[in-house]
Amino acid sequence: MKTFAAAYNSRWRRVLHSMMPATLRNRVILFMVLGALSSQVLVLLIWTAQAKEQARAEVSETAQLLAASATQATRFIRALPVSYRPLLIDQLRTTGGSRFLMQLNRSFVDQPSAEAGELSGLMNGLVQRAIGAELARDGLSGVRVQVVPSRSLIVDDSGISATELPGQWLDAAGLPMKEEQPLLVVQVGIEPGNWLLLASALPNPGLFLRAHPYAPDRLLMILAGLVAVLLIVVGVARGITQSLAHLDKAASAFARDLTVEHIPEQGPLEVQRLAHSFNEMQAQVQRSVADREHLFRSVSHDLKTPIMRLGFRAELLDDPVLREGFKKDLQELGVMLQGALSTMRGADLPEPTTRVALGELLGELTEAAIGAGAPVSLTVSEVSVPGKALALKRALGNLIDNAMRYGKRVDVSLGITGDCALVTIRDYGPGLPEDQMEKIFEPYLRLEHGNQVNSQGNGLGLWIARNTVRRHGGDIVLSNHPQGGLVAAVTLRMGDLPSQ
Amino acid sequence: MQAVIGSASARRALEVLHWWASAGERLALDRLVEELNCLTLRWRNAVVPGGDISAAGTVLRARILARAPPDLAHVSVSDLRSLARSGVLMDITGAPQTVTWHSGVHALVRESMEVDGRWMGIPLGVHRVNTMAWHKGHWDRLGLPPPDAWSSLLLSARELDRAGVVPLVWSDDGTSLTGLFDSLLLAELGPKGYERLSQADGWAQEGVVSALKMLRRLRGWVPSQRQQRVNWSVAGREFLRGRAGIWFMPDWCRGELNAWGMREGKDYEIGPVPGTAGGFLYQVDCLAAVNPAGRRQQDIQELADMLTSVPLQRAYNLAKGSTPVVSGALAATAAAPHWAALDDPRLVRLPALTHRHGNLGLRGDVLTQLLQAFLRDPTQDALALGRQMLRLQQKEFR
Repeated sequence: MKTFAAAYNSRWRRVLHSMMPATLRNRVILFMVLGALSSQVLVLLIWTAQAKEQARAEVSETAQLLAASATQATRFIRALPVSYRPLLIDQLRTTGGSRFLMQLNRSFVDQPSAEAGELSGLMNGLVQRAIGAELARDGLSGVRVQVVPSRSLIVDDSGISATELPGQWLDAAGLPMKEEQPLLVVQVGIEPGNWLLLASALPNPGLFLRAHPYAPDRLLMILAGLVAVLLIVVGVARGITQSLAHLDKAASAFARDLTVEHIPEQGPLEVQRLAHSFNEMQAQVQRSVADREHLFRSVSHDLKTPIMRLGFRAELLDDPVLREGFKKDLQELGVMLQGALSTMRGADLPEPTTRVALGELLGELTEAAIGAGAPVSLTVSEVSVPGKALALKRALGNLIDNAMRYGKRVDVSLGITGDCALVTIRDYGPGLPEDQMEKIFEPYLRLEHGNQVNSQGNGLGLWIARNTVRRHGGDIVLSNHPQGGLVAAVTLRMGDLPSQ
Repeated sequence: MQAVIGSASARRALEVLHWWASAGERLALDRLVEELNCLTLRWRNAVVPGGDISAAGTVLRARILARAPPDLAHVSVSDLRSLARSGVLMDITGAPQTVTWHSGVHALVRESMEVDGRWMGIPLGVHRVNTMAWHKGHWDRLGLPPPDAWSSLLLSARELDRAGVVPLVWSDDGTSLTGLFDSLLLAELGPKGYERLSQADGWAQEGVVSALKMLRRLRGWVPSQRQQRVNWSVAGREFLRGRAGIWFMPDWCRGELNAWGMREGKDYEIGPVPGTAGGFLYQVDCLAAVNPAGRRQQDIQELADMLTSVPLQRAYNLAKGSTPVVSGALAATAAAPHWAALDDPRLVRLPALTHRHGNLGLRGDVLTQLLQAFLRDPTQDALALGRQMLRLQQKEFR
């Protein structure tokens, strides 16, 4: 049982989670709108309940009044000699004085039933009970009460409707005919074959006509309220998320190539604090990188002198074999140092970010080789990315040089994958063991095969290339081609130039 | 006017409810009262101001309901029927050997006064409803043709309008308006079609809608500031002063104009509404005894005797502009050449709508109110109103 509940719970959570909008702004909007909507609905429900309660009270008061009047009128008519009754009715038609339109009929006149509203039914029942009880004391049992739309009222047992009567009579009885309004119609069998019909306007017809609580205009009002809330919320949410978006942009730029952008510390307090921390972090990281570079550079620089001195001292060695060994090691050390220094310098190279046409760049890189008859093929298309042209040229150049060095033949192609440019460089060499695919990017790492082919390499080429590409928001992935040879897939984010 | 003084209290006073308030009606009334007050009976006026049948009906009903009815009331013949059937009127048939005044009454009138074979009303005079008066002075001055056809009437109306005279006036009072509509119905339907109005599909005739359209067309010649509902004697005053050319009015306009000193044939002419020259739409003025218990039967019979006597009939009807109800008084005099019309063999005598409501299905007061609303609201469709009238008539709405 418990596990079921838990599973159920977690499933619901998942469903809810999947329905949740991804962005903060949309979440804020969703919750605000939900809140506004539920409060509106709640108010509407309370209001409806109250209005209904009030209407019921009014109806019951009206019913008592009308029942009393109808009883009185019935008794008055009954007390008159039969021959005088038409006179009284004619009199009321011309002079008014009664709240009822009265008509004497030979039988009960069935009325077209009104739309049976709840209040009409209540009114019906109350009046029926009150008059029935009163007139039962006079020995009258035939009492029928109906709520009838005024324009459908049938007055006479021959089927004449109220709308066919002279307007003056209806005015005298206060019956509204211009517009459709509910009337209370009481019919009493005062003697066998004599029915008295009493029709009266209801004192508060609005009660019965009052717009349904869920009428379109009311819903429209709720909708208008929601739209107003939505507009305000969208504005507020934008204000909050704009500063976050700014922060996000700066953070991703920083992550890409340590570009420092100072975030203005404004907006809500939380965002201000976040911006402040981010600025602090940027400064801190920049300082430590600078310190490290400084340290590395001075160490590299400082090492030059002892290496040079060691070189001189090695010259003094008598054993030629030993001397050559020393010289070779020192030379290698010097190359490594040189490479490290030039790498530091390259990273430092201040270069503006521009739109780099990759096709042209690859053409330049392979031009010389193709001109010299090297087996290099190039397939390009019109693709450009924002970036530092020289750094990219060096990175891609490293990869192509590697490929030409280790493979017999090289295919270079340029395409698009998703929102990135894709440069594929395939050689037809021996490829790499799978466990070396990542390791090879580590600085100063030389593989056996590499050492054999290029003993002068310093082991920094791939490391530099990957660093550069990653700073451009891309990556280099190596893989073995199924038909042999190594494939280097370089992705580079396209997108717009970052606006400065 | 009729203050109850010491010696008068000994005499038997009869209170009469009526709405004779105009000059002509008062003159006619004076003729009656002068004669009556010489006798032991005393006529006490209960006049309803406004001169309107509907106001008088309201007062009468109120007094009946309050159990304080007048002794007698002036009622229309259709009201006479409905009140008689309600059982609030006294049967004044009387014993044949003692009551003799019935015998002299014109057969046409007798038919109107009898409800289910019993006499219920005392007749006073016969009015012709399909009449109108036109101002002779304007006709002579402008050289207009007599308005005996719609074409010449409308031509005259145009000329009058051009001359700055209001072409037509009438009152929207119950009897004046239904009188005009009655005449238009007769003009459109002809005597046979008019008779058919009592039958089930009578109001389905096309002429009904045509009459409604004609009514609205004529209304177009009434200046808008005179279209509000006015008392008929006020409308008559316009005519009297020469501001209006034609006055649509049943023939009690004659009594009214005479009372104001105008002379028929010299100052004004009275003739049938165009298209109705061959018809005599009649309506009988009568008094009903509002007393079901039959008290004072003797006094009422004595009064009826007096009211139907030849001299009083002649005096009263001369003043009122109507025609005597007793055949003996009908010998035309130079002063009342129109009296001959009641027995004129060339005329078709037809009971007016106000007379026939009991037999029509369509209530008189309903008809009046529908017509008044129709004239008030120019957007109301004549065809729809015709259908409404038909339904009310067929269903015999009460």
